[in-house]
Amino acid sequence: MPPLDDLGFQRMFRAEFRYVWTSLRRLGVPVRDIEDVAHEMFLEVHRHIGRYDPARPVRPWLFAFALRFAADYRKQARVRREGFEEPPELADPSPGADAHLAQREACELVAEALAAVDLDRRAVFILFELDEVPMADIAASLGLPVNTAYSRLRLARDEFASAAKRIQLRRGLR
Amino acid sequence: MSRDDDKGWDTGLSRFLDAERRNVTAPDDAEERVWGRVAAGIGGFGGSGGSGGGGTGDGGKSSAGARARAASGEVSPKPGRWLASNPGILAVYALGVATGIVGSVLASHATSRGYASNPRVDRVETVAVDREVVPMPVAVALSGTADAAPSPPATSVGARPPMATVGPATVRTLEEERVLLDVARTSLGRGDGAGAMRAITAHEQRYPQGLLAEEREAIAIQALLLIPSFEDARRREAAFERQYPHSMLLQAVRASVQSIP
Repeated sequence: MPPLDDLGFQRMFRAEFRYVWTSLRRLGVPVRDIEDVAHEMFLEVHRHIGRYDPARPVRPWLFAFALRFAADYRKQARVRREGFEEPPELADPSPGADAHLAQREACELVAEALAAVDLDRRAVFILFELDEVPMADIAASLGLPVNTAYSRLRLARDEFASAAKRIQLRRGLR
Repeated sequence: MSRDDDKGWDTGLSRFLDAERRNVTAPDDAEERVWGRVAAGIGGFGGSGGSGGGGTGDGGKSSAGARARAASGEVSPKPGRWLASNPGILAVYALGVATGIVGSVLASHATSRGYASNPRVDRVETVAVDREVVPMPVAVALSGTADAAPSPPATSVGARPPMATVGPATVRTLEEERVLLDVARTSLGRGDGAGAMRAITAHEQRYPQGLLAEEREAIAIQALLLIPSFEDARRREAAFERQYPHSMLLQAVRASVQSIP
C-alpha cells in the first residue's frame, strides 16, 4: 500500500482523534493540557506520515507517539515542579453519564489505578487490556522484544490490581 | 496472538476494564479546535472536512483543498524586488501586522475576561461582559464552519449579520482565525504569496464571514500582488472598497493596487 498523503492524514486524524485523546488521558496527561499535547503530537505524526505502513494497525502506531509525548509532558511537569502525577481525570462527563453512575465509577477507578502504574508498563497494559491489541503488535509499535512486553504486562497487572483493591477498600470504608 | 496470558490475572476487575474500554471519548468541540491548529501548523488544509461528531468521514472539500495546496505549492513565488519597490504593500503588511496584534491582544483580553471583542476597532459597537449572552456586531457560525460553502469569489464577500450570540466558544474561534491569518502573514513576510493564499483559502473556507474577514481580505490582496495575480488583486480590492468603506486598512490596500505597474 502506498504511504498516506495529506488527505490520508486528515482521515486518520478524524478517525482516531478520540482514541488519541483517550490515550493521552490514560497516559496521565491532565485533561486541561490534552488539547495542546494532541496538537503537538499530530504535527509530529504528520511529519512522519510517510513512515506509516497502512497495512499495519494504526492505533498502536499512534499510541507510540502518544506515549512519547506523555513522557515528555511528564518530564516538563517535573521541571516545572508541578507535582506530576495529578489526580486522574475523566474525559468529559458525557450526556447521560449520571444515568450510568456505575460505569462512571468504574472508569474513575480504572483511571486512578492506572495512575499508580509505571508509565512504560502502563503503556503495555493499556494497549493489551483496554485497546485489546495483540502483543506482537504492541511489541513492534513500542520497539520492545515480545518477552519484555509480556514482562511489563505482568508487572503492570500487579500494580494495577493492587491499586484497584486499595481504591475499592477506601471507597468501601467511606 | 492469543490472549490466554490471563493466568493469575484478577478477573474481578474485568467489569471495570470493560467500562473503560468503552470510554473512548473527547470533549465535543476539541476535535475541531485541534484540527484547526494542526491544519494551520502544516500549512493549511482546505476546509475542516469535519463531521461535527468526530466521525470518520470528511467531505470532498478537504480533498480538493489538499490537492490545491499541493498544486499551488509547485508554483514558485515571485517575491523580492516588486515587493520592495512597492511601499504600499509594505504599508498594508505593517498595518496587517498591527491589526493582527490588536486582534491578538483583544482575543487574549477577551479570553481572560470570558467574552469576545471585535478586533476591528473602527467598528466596535457593543461589548458586554455577560458570559451567557453577549450581543456582538459580528457573525458567528460555529456549527456552520464545517459545512461552509467553497471559497467564494472576492466580489461575493458578504455582509456580516448584525447580531449573534457568542460565548467562550467564539473566543476560541477568534483564536483559531488568528492562527490561520498568522500563517498567512508569516508567508507574506517571507514573500511567499502562494503560501499566504493557501492559508487565506483555508480561513475563507472555514470562516467565510469570520471575525477577521476584513483583515483576511487585506492580506489576500497583498498575496495576490506577490504571486503576482494583478487582475485578481484588483477585483478583490474593489470588493474590499465596497465591503469595508471605512476600514483603517483601506488606504494602504488602495495604494498597493494603484502601484501595480
